[in-house]
Amino acid sequence: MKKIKDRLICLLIAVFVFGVAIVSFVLPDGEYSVSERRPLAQMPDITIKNILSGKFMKDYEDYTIDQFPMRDAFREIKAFTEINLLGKKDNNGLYEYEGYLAEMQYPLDSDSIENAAAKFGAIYKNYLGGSEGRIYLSIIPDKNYFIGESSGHLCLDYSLLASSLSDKMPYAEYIDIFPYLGIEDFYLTDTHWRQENIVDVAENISAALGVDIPGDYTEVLSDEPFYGVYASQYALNKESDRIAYLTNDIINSLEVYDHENGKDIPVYNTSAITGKDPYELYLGGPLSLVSIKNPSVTNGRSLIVFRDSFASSLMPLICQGYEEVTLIDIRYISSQVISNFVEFDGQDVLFMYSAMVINNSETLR
Amino acid sequence: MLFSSIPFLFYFLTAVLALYFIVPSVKYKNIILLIFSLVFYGWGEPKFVILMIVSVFFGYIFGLMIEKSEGRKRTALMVVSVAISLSFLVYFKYADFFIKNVNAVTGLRIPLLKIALPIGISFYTFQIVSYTIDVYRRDVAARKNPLSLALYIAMFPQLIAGPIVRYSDIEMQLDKRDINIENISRGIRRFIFGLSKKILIANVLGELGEIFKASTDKSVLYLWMYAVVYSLHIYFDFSGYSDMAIGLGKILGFDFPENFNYPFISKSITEFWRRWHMSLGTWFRDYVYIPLGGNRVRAGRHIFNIFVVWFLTGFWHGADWNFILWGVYFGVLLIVEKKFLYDKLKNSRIISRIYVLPLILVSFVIFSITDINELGHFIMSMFGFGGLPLVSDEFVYYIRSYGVIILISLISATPLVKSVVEKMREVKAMDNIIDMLEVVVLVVLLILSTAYLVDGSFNPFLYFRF
Repeated sequence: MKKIKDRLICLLIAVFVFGVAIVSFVLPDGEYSVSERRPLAQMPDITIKNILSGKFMKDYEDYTIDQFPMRDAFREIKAFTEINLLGKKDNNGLYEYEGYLAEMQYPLDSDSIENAAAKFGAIYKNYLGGSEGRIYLSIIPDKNYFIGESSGHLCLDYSLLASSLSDKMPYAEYIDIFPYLGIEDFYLTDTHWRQENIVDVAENISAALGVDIPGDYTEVLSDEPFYGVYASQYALNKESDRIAYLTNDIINSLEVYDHENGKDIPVYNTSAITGKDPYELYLGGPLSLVSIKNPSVTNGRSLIVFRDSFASSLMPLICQGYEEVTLIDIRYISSQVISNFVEFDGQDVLFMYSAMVINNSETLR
Repeated sequence: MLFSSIPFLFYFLTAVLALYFIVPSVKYKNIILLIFSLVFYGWGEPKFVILMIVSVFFGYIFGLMIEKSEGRKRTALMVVSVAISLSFLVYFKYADFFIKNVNAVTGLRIPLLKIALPIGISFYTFQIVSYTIDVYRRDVAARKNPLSLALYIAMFPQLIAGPIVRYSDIEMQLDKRDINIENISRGIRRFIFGLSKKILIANVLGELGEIFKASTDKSVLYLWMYAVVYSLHIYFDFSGYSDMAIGLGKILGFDFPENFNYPFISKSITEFWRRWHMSLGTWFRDYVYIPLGGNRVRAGRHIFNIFVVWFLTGFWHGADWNFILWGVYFGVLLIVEKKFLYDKLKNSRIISRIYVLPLILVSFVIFSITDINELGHFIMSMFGFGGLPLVSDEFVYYIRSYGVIILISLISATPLVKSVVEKMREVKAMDNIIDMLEVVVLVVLLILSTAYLVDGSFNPFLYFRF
């Protein structure tokens, strides 16, 4: 029996180790991971310089990890082991509660809030100081706000985050949208909120901004399954959503221009629903500078929004109350150069960011 | 290159094993091993391969010269050889430490050299030193073949994290070794257990340690949890590496010395050091403590000898004051034990462990924190003198989240599972079942370890200071 055992151990381990080595040499390298939504590392250049500096070795390790045969299956095994066998309450900071995948936003990062306030303060000082327009601030809670405590996970103090930032921006009027949101207003596996569930949020923000928006929409529901960004990071298979968008005659008439790529784009790019990130359905997804003209309104009002990706699904609703809306994402364009592209001329200004961006504001430029 | 990495496990190891088992004679196997060992070492810092080759060259030349010399010349050659080997170590590892302290004491501003520490230099330097001293003592004959000596020093399984293999341990095996299925199987088993200890336990505990360090919500229990987690992390990381090294050696036909033997079950600090990093402990015993006179001297000199050994043991682990403090801390404890406690502790299973474990936990806190002020505050806070609350939200969350892995690691740090399995093996039918289960467990552990590596989990290398 001992001999059989010894032979079995040698055989099985050799098959696994040599099998992986052979398969990885035979299989062609992948370029993009659909599940992780990122390009995969490629074989680094073998040069004397790269080898002597150690860069080749570092890059080669990344390459072998990214191109490992059945990579997604192994990631799933790891997640299953951690969550279901070892009882870890989160996997890489993500957790599941009642079907929702959420990210543990914790702890409160005072330096990050300070940094965000400094960035916004510089924008106010450089572009909005003499403005007659009204300036607003609104913060979007993430899913952890709604289910963090009840699921036994760590949760930052969202009230403190909002009041800290608001106190540092005395020039802006704070619009509190927390009471109008619940966990059901967010996608199961994505960070973002559902457009069809935030009509009341849009109405309250519009009321605070002093514009009217009609409340009648037609909801168009996609047939495609929607797996959000957390689904891939969490690695375990989860229930999918279906993405929807709201439309009416005014929204249909909006004229959207993507300054980053210099072209007109649709309000809703339905081809994105089957793409890498279905949330790019709304206003073209992550773009640095977008302007939206509304030919249906002639009230002389215009709005500049400093925003993150949450605004992409909200703004088609808010736009109904303005002649023109400009969306600026200072994660993709430096706040120091935006006057080259945008004329600040007394427009209403809304700073609208998710709590997770404020608490991780190193991405703001 | 790390054992716990995809390039090592699936590309380097497969290549070296394939060639190693294909070539017919030990002579060619040694050449294959040496070439791959140099590639292994050069993978991280190619330029330091030259330093290692120079060190081996000196060891080789001095070994031959010492063997052919007698009397004072023989002693002088040995001293010069040791001095050259240690000078490399001192320059690369300790130069900036000395400069910093000279600057601090004198107010000078001597610029730091900022030299990168060649990985594993402490291990291979000690091997070279032990080799030349053993030749000097006529315990071993000088190796005539330089490639064989280079292989002894540079052999990749034990090169970067030990165990510290003596030349006498593998002198015969460099020329003739027993490579068979049974040894290969035992080597694979040992390697996979070591790999799992490193990846599935040590890395996960290390991740929790990093979370603790970044925390702004500390509490007394959270500090104690860190002390436990960090101690276990170091143990599973270090003993995991040793297991992998011993396993790889076994696959290749070598028998490396054991390095750890369940140190946390010790009933005294003296016993702890007989079970922890055994190859280092015996090295200092044979090449420092005994040459200084050991315990066959008057009491004052004996205490001095112990302090020297433990000062050096601490300093060997890193060029910072906390490592020296760590070594001296053990030196003091060992002296107290030898003079007052040892006999009492031997006779008490419970009290001895109540005495040993907190002292060991505190020792690893000293090992973990290089800033002496922070260290003082940490230890005071552990005992309730830091103004921290007893419990914090983060402690509650993470003890729940990592509770199972901490429990697994606590059990695995004792011989409990091993004892149970050995007991069950006494029944013939169970023995066969356990044999088959063992195969399944090994495959599962390898798959799990691979999964953690593929996911890019936290995977630190702790021995960059050694």
